[in-house]
Amino acid sequence: MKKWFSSAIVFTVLAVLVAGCAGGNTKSGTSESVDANKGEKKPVIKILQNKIEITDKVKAMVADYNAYNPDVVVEVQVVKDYLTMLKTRFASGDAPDIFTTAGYNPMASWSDKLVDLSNEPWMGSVSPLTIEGMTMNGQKMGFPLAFEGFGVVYNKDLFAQAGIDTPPTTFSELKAAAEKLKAAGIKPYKEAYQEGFPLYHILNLGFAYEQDPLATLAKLEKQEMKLADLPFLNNVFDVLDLGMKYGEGQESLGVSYDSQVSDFATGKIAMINNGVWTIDPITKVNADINIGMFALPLTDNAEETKMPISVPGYYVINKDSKHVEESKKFLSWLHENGEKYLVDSFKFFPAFTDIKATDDLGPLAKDMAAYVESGKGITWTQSAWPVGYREDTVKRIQAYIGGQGDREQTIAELQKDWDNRVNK
Amino acid sequence: MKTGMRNALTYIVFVAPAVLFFIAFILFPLIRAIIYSFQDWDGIASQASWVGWGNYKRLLDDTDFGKSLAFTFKYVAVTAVLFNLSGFLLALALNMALKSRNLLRTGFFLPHVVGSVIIGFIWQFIIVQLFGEIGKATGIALFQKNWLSMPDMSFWSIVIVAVWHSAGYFMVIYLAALQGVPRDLLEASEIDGASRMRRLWSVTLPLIRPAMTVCFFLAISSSFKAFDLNFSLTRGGPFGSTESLALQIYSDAFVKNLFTYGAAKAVIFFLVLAGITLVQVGVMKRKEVEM
Repeated sequence: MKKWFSSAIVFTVLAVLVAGCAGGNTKSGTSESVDANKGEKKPVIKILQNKIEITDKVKAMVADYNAYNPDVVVEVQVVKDYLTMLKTRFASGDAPDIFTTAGYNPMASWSDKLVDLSNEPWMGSVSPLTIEGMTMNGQKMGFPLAFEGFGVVYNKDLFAQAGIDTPPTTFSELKAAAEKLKAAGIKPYKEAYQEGFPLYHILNLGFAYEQDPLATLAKLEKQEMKLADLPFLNNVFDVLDLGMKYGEGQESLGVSYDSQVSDFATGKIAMINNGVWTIDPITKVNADINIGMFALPLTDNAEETKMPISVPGYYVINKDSKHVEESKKFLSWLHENGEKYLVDSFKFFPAFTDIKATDDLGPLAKDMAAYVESGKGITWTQSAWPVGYREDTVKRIQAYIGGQGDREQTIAELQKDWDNRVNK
Repeated sequence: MKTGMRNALTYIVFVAPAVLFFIAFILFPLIRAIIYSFQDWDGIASQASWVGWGNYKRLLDDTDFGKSLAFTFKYVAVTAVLFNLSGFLLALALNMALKSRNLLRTGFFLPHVVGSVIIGFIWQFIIVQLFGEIGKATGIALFQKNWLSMPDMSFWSIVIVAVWHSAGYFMVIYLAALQGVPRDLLEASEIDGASRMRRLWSVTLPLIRPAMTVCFFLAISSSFKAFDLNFSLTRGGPFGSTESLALQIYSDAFVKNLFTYGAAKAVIFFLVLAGITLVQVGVMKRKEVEM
């Protein structure tokens, strides 16, 4: 009896363990779902994406698609720690059929896993600014989701109080505006330099103001020129100095995005160097605020002042998906209904020429639209910097703000990181 | 079935799960990390190429890695002492016959129950907003600055929050040890005329050495692996001055897409951590007193 009992335990435990380990090898998520009524197998398209702010709206969109298309099942997962999740899903053999990625280098990293979408019906109507970032070896691989722009978000009422009628278009005007605000007893800036993204967005201006930014990047990568040769890089430091002088100074390093946005939304500060994405958090705090946005001027030539506008994410299709055709169909459907879902529901600024932006998108998108329409948009070159460089720059610029080095030393440090990333 | 056979079987049944889990979740990933550290892979591409010692050679020139290593050592040294000191003092105080001691024990342990990422966000608010208000009200210069914008104060911010978070945990271990000290020994020494300090130094401390070994081991290994507070409270800033090794490895591997380079750092990290804790446990074990 005892013998029987102990061997039984051994076998049960071992069986459980073996089953547990083997579970990883079998396909746990099958790519087909069985319809209980008919016993037929439907293709399942799995979407993985970021932007948790719109999770409910994305799920509603997918539910609509499933309702109209009973022969497929679309499943969507919206996650916060997106890149880690995406890489994990690919590594574990449970790759999604459709997922999102940024353009330029991130797109290039994924490119050997992506389907060429050049011949899709909607490709003809994508906005010209979106094409460069998604073209890899001549193949266009992405469905642009939205445009986002970086610049100066300002409080129109506070500007009016200080007697500033038109938004500044040159750097001198911007300086004068800050001075006027200060004189009127209004705090001009509170820069959130604890965060990395405002810093690399500002640094980007030094690259994006080039005549042909991508050609300049190529020269930098081949080491044919140095960062110190970029004529506009020095102006970037002027912008940083301005934000410090009329803001929190070195203590900007301890200011987070949340505290910046909440102070701006409650009218404590007049402007922030930030982007259109601030509209949601700002209006959540204060729905009646009267705000606008203008391009951050780098020089005293108003003609040169342009807004960095780019596509934060493209939908792409996994080449190894079993349902490439169905996935393509989904994207075409999304384009046809783009106004309803992308614009009205997700509040995205459309990156297609045949989808119109509406006033519902809010004042920041409206001001950005003027730059898109007049062709005054420039690239987010930070996406095209060598992999990992964007994050490197944050520490160096923070060190400059913290008074750890002057401009020359900072540029030398930035160059060192660049060399490090280019010669692997 | 022979007894020997049966003993072996029983032994296997009890040890096998632990061994299998250890292999699957610790040994296997460790071996993978070592293999990755000799490759060049961004975490995405289908193909990884071999680069030999390339990643390790690059580490030698990486000043950020050196800075992070220095920060981590400094952090471990300071917190290992403070965790144990505060935990031990709390335990000593709450081992006395206080009326409110159960309430106090719960109170001091409570922070440990809250996740440290959340604690980081709460303390970020306290340090940035509340300290500022204290500075305004009292005029103390120290509180008028934004602590998280200064490297030194950022360091101490993390230390303060970490000690506040962990002291209760170490208190519990020391409390258990203190209660295990035999009363007769303490009474005997009291009759022999030993003072309070003498009793603490010559009787209590030697008898709780096993708890000290454990607590120092826990403090050192958990501080070396510090990640969440650096991530949520200071984000490694300002300018990377509070970037712990674990945080730097995470950002290399997952944010910067330098997966194999991060793996190389992780391997070095593992060797350093294993070396130090082995020495620590070895040395302290020898000083333990057997009853």
